[in-house]
Amino acid sequence: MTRVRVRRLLLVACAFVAVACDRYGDEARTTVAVPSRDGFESVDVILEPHCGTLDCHGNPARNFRVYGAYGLRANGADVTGIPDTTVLDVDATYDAIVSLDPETLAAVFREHGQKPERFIVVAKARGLEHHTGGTRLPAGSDGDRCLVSWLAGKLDEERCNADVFGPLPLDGGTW
Amino acid sequence: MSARVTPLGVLLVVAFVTAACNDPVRNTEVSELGAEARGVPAGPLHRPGQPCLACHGGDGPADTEFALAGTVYQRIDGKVPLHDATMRFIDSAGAEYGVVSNCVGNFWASADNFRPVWPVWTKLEYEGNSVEMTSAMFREGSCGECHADPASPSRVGHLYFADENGSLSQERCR
Repeated sequence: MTRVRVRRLLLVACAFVAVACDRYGDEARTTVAVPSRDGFESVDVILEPHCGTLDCHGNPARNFRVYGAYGLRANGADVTGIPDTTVLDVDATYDAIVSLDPETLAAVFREHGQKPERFIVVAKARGLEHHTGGTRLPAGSDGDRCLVSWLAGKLDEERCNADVFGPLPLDGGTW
Repeated sequence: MSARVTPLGVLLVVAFVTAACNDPVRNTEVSELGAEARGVPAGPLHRPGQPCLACHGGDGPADTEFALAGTVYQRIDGKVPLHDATMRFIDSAGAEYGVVSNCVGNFWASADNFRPVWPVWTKLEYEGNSVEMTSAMFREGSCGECHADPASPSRVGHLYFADENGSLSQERCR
């Protein structure tokens, strides 16, 4: 192959690479509005005891991760159990939940919480969709109402505060 | 059309079904547990601290099936086993069950005796004192799966009765 041919070939290759790489910059970006981080602490205290233990979503193997004292920690220096849930843990759980299915989440939020079961977290927690952990927040329960109120952009602190201990053993017996 | 069943065909079908039923994740978990410790045969005293249901979960290789099982130690800052401690469980249907730890701290609830409805809560009792587990268990029957050392951002460390400030003395198990 002559020098001229090699030069031409290199020029064509460079042009191809430049055009190919340039296409990434042209991709449209969509910004969606999702429920606010403000006040999410109240939702987090529901998610942690119901969903965030090490054997469920407090485990790094889960697609949807819940961070906190009962399970996975956001800070690599913290361990499960100690210290109590940190702001960093709550931030990480917020990022996880809004990243899970952002288009649907945004639609529910835009429509002020109408048909919240469209959002996968609500559907799974209510047991409407297959969920290995079963029904954790039945429709209409305090935890469910807390989560749905956050999705609607009208956080119901009272409902959130009513369920901060998570599931508890039945009354009675010798326990 | 007539079909002929040949020995090779049967072998192929058996091989396919065997391969399809194999769970590579569980197989890896079992193989990573390693061999039995020297001088400790398979039985109630073997493999303390390991995730029991990896083998005793009902799909083998162990014959006995456990619903819940683990190992308890005396203190947070050491791995001396705690024997004769009682682990009490209560499930979400209100069924209760108790088991006592043996000389190496191992305890187990056989699936023949206790089939819990998740979630399950547990507490550890010893000489009139009790420690309740902070969270419920939702699906994992092997205590050692989460209670593994060293404690980390996704592990809670071994199961113990006394913390750094607690006092506990126990005679050696016979």
